[in-house]
Amino acid sequence: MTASPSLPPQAATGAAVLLEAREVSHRFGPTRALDGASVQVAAGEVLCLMGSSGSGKSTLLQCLAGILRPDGGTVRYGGRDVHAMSDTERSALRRHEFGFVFQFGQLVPELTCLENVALPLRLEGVRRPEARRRALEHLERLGVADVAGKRPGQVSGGQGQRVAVARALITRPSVIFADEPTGALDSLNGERVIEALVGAARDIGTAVVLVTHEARVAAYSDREAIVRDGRVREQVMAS
Amino acid sequence: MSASHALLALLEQGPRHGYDLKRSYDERFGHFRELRYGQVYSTLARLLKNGLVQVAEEPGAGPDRKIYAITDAGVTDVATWLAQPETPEPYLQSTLYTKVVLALLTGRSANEVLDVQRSEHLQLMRRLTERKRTGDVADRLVCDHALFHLEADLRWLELTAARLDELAAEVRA
Amino acid sequence: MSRGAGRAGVRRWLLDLGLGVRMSVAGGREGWLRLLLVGVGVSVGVAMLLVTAALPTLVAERSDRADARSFTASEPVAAPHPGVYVRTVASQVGEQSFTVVLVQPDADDPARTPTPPGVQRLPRAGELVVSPELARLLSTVPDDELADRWPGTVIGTIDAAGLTGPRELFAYVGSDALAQDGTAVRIGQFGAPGDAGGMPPVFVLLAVVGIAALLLPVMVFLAAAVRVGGQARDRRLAAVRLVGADAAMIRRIAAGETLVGTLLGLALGGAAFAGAVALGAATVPPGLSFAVADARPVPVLAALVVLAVPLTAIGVATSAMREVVVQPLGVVRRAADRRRRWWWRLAFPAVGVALLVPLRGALAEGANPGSFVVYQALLGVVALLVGVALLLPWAVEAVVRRLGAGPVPWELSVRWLQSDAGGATRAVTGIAVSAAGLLAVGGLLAGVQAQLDDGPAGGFDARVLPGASDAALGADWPAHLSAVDGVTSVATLTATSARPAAPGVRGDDLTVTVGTCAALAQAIVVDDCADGDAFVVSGGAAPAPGTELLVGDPGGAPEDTVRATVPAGVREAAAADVMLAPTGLFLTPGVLDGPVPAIDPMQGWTEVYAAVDRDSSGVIDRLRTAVSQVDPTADVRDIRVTNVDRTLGTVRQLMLVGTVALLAVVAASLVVGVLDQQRERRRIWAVLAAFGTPRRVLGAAVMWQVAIPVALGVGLALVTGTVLAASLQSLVGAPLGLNWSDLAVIAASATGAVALATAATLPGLRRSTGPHGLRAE
Repeated sequence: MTASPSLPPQAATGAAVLLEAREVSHRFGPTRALDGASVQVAAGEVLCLMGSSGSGKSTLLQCLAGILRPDGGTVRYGGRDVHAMSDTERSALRRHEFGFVFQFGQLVPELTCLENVALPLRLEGVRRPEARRRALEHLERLGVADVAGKRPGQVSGGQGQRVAVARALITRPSVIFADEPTGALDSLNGERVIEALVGAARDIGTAVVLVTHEARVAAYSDREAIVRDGRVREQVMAS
Repeated sequence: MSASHALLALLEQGPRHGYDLKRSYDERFGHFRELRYGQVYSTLARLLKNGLVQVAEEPGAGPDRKIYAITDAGVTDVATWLAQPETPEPYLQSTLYTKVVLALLTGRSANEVLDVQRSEHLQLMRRLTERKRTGDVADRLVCDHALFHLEADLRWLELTAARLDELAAEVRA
Repeated sequence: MSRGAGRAGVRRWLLDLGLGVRMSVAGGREGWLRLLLVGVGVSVGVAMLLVTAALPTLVAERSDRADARSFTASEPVAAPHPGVYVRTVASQVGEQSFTVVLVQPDADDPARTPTPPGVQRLPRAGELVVSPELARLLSTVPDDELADRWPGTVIGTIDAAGLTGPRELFAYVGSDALAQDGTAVRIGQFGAPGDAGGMPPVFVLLAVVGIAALLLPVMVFLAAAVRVGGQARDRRLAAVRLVGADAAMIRRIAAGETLVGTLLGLALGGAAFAGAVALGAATVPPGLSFAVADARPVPVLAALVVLAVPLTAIGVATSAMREVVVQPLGVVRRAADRRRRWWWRLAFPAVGVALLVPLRGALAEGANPGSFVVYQALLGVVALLVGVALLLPWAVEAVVRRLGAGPVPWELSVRWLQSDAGGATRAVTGIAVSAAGLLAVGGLLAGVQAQLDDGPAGGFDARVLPGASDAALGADWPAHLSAVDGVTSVATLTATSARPAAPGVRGDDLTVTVGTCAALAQAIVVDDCADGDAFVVSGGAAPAPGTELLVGDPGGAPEDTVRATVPAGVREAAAADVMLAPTGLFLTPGVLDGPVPAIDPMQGWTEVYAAVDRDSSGVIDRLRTAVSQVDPTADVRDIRVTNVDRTLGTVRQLMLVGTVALLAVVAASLVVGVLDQQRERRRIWAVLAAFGTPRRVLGAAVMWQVAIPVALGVGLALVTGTVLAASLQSLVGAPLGLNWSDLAVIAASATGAVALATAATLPGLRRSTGPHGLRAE
């Protein structure tokens, strides 16, 4: 009856495995945050990582995204070991293939919303007018074109998060990592944000790894993986 | 909710008189519904007929002097029942509560119940969410209502599972 | 995947720099404030560096002009070659000492007479050519205090080309007595190239240590200024890193951010430098005066400053980026902070001590210093000072870690410091290094002064050393000087030789010094003296009592000598000043049969001592005037004020200016650091205030947070500064001693700086704990 943690959970049937973590472990000082966690993300699917606080779900997300180097285990993207890459390659990965939507503090406060959205393109070398044009497009699509000239500190939470979603999408990434994207928002704004995120992601075939503790947000995903005590519980297939 | 599973599970703890059984049930679940003696005995009779329960005769006694014990088949039945998710619907608390308590009583992991139920709830919530996307305003209102209640169920379940130790100690006292 | 990866081109560089620039000028009011802080900080450093870069030019220009008018006595020129007799005379008015050159040009051919630069025509007897500032003084100071020294008319002023500085006091005075004066020399031209009086190594050392003590804190301050707004910058750049900038891009962006502040600082610094030069030219004492045009930074050094400051700033900024480069946004939970290691930080002070200890006594009197002594000492000093800068962060951390309970503000600040002492420590390192440097320089100064002290005043206020002219030798000094208003008593001390009177008695010529008891006290220590006594210096032999001596010029006529009888009871006396090494017999006038004869300047000397009524204003200057009227070549010294005080007076003044500038820099850095911290912590303060912490508690917490590192810095500086001063003092062979007045100055300034920094945060504290403090950003 109890789950046998050694079997990696199955991805949604038939889809190719895009991103995978195998036996990932990490500790912060004396605390063991992850203890042999394994999970797979298929191309185009929306995966939700759920668990109580301290369960290690955010840590797992950060390892998957290549931001945090785990003490043990591997993370593979498209078959390549993410943490064995050089910093330049990993940065390029974050620029091209990944997008990020976090709960707080991810937009650069000194730049306007438009410039924030254009930033990944500018880092890529896209010229300023072109980058701004595309950024404005994305803002319009998400319904926040009116805050283009304002700074992140001057807009409401919901608007800010939608700007972050626009920024995450602008490079047409393969995976978007969202850590509690609606955590600081009320029901209506939260719904807007998660709808925008998942809707836009499905439109262009981007996978989403979503960390949340709210079931209604998790309801936007295709499947969930429960993280408990640093491991991923074997997933139950839909009956 | 059928009382037969509850009685069966209580019997898994150990053989009892029918009288004891009702008392036990009332203590734990009586606030949901009253159980009449007649209902107890008729349920027991049906269980007996299905081979889930057996009788150990106490000499020189009436019907309330019989001692009932669970059979292997009964144990399996309880296990299966506990392992199956319930069809999610609002106001499922009583069933869920019962299940969690019984799971603990019979030495099973409450986390399992939680995880299994959560998965099922989420599936329904996904369907509701999809319906919201394509429906009109009335649809959305209805779906939101259901979604909130389903979420409340899950949140309560999670909270309960987090109180494992306290509950275990209290129930087994 | 490889788009944009691989070798970054120039466009990539410009892009990243541009992004950094964009981020540094954005950010609304906060951003501008931060930029301003950085700019001001950098500008102070740049201004001081430019001043230092201008010093060589300044010194060279002045010394070139001094060379152009100087002359040496080594090759006198005889008639009929055109020439001029010259003699330099030291003079003084009030506190200002200056030089006057007596000249006696050839009467016959004024056109071919050598002329110094800046002068149309050399003055003849009864004429003067003066500098503009001296001309001004001649008309404002009472005549008997100045003008009457050189009676005559002013026929012209000296041009700028003939003066070391526009406000210098200088004059050429015509004379007709120089030809007979043995101490005057006849020269064929003005302008002796090369060594215009090389400074003794001690002063070079002083100058070099002073500059090092000034510059190091400036560099520290520069580094601290650049890191203003560090926390916010880290977060900002971490966000950019998350989006996919790699390490090299982030460094370029950080460089771009720093660039704007640094360029602003360069511009402001240049302006500040110009202002400082103008201010300096107007306010330095006349002896140090310089023309603004003289203070041109050496082009190479100026270029170095313009290049090095931005590069250093960028280097500091990018090195502070290390953590962000490794861990982009998202990893908030940090592992336990790395403990700073102490053992490598001790290397610098150890090296410094190792360099300085072997130099003990190397520059003392009589020592023969190698040419590398000054450089080695400089390296040792720099190493020690850098060691202070490195040790301080560790010391702060080590001490703060052990601090414990106390009142609430104390605990608050201790916890703040324990979590991150970096900002406060950086600002304070400047204080520590400059305090250590000041102590070292002050200690060295005091040591040198003690060493070069002139000997006892013994009741007299002034000493006159007459020149070698006939006028000087024949003068009745007591009569002349007693006539000066304010002079209370005059005594003479005359040294000459003596030989036994009895014919045929072979005996060595003795040195004999004659003077009243008061005058004798200038040379030897006498407790009990009456007219008729005689003394001999300890260890010397006196002739037998009753011996008749002929005192006076041995080769001269008998009427140039006077008889003296050695009395019984010749006592031994110690020398009053070992440096002067007096020898021979010391006689009171009563021992002689008659007045002391005129002496031959080649065989002996005369000193005249005068006591004055100090309350009479200008009395010393009147004394000088009276002396000058008799003998313009005589040297008059105020012996209450030691000689070295005068010489070191300018060094002292420079040090005072330097100290004030330094303390201003340090106070500014402290204020900037505290303001920056306050900006980054205002959220926390708002929260604290919101649940009821009184403002004074928060204010006290800020004060403690500044005071603890400052106290540690001053403490460390005291130790290092004293060690440094002691080693420098032993270097020049001076007595070791603590300079309490310097310590008091430092303690007072540190307290003042803390108070100032705390006061500066109060308006901000008021604002952030007000109703808007809690607004989400």
